[in-house]
Amino acid sequence: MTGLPTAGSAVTIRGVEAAYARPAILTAFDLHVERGEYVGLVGPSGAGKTTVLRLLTGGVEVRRGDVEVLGTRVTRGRPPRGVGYVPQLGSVDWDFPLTVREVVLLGDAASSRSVPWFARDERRRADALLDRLGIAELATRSIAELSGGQRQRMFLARALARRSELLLLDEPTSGVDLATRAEVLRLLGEMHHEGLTVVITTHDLNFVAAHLPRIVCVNRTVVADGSPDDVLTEDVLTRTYGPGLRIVRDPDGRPVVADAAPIPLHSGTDHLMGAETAHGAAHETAREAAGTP
Amino acid sequence: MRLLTEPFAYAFFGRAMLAGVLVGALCGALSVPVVLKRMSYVGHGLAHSVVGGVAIGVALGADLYVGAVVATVVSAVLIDRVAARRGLHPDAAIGIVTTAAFALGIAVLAIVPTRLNLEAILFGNILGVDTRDLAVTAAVALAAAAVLFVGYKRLVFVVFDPEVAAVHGVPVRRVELALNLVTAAVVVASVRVLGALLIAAAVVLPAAGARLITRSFASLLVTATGLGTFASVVGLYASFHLDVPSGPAIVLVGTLGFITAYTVSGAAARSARRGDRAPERAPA
Repeated sequence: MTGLPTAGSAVTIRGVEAAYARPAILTAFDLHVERGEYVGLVGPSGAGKTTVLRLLTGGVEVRRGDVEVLGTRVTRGRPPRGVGYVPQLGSVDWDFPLTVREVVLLGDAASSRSVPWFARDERRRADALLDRLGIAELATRSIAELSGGQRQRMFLARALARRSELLLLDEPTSGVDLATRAEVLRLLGEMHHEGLTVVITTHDLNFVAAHLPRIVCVNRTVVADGSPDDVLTEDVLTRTYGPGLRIVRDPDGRPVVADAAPIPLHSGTDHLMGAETAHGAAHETAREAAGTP
Repeated sequence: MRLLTEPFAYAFFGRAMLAGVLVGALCGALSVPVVLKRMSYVGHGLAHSVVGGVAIGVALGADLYVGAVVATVVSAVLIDRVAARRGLHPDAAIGIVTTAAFALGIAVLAIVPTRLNLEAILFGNILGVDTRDLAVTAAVALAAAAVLFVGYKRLVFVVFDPEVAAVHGVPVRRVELALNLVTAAVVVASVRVLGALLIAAAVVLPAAGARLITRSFASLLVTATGLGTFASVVGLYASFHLDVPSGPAIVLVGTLGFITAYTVSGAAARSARRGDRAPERAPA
């Protein structure tokens, strides 16, 4: 991942209206990401976070405005080169008969020779990526045998197999335990330091507050864009998620998002208050950040 | 030994066996993407459209294959188009397009009298395999093998994760269209040996059985192709000696193969559980 361009625009979205069907998901959407940046997109479910990633990969119709990625204009069905994509873990059939190495090799299938086997240098490169991500010993394992964290790392290796300059990750910290989340964050931090541009979507407000230099709050359009200190205010959170969230400070002075009214624990409705809701997620991560059980 | 050699005293059996081996291998290989993409209904549907196409073609005085090819290619393209429409899945598209073709064909046969042996088209008949059928089957086998050889990696990526495959530069729509066209060609080539109504089973059983006893895509493809070929060979012998239509005989052998794989994999899983020998997941 050395030798990547460090200056210039990685992503430019200007005045975009985007839709899958009739009602637009994104309206008047503007975003600029420089090469080498590490950006987190946050917002409630249905706000259009995943749609922004699809916008960057040619997976959604642009009705108005334009999208440019790594110097190439993106239109529907024409994904730009140099983009690696890590989908949500639930997007594939984990019983599919593939080994970990095979999945990583597929990441560069589009530019591989048109024969059923992969060349020795392609296999060597896939093994180096697996080694880099700490799962070299799993190369010949079936993907059905992997834990959530191992699956995430395998997908990262597949995304990097395409010699990506821009890495897009859809909810990389959802559905994994705390240790795995920390490991995924460490890996992403390393890749960012090596020059990759990283854009992720997440529900995990306190994770982005603690680890990312830039947050973009999304609710069909860009509500706020800046550093965690600038963006994580009660006014912005209210405009993004609606009322019910407040900001407290951790001992280092960093903002931590918490519920305005604590959710009663051990009640008969606990199971209804999953981390999928903004309040549930914020409450859960606030407790984690504060170190309380 | 006589049971194996005796049928070859008849010229038609040699042709039928050659066609059967090709059809079995083709259906076996094709069954892998069909099962993994959960498009098992595609063979069922396209076979129905073959019946419609053959009936309409013969009623119009055209060659049997012309009607079958036109019907399946048009159906494959229409399925592809209808399924691409938001809110419609491939099973609905197949159900709409191919049953309409089948219904049209049957209606045409009721109106226009022909000499078409509908039973042979529906259930297969090894007596009907001539050198032209053999040539058609061989041509389809060659074309399908070429498509699979050239597009193997992209096909695996598209079947496993079409969204990321598209982002990573794989022409997903073209790969899916090629898969539909190959499926249509295999269905046409299989009509004589398997019969239109039983092709559906032949493009599901091999991969369904192989899936239970293999772990990688490559071994699944090889095993399914082998199982398909085996079912065809044994089924054709059974058809000859027991005097039953070739399609049902081949499908019943394939079903026995699936039951065997199901039993063996179930016993292996129970044994692994008893011995607590299931592989432990490594820490993340």
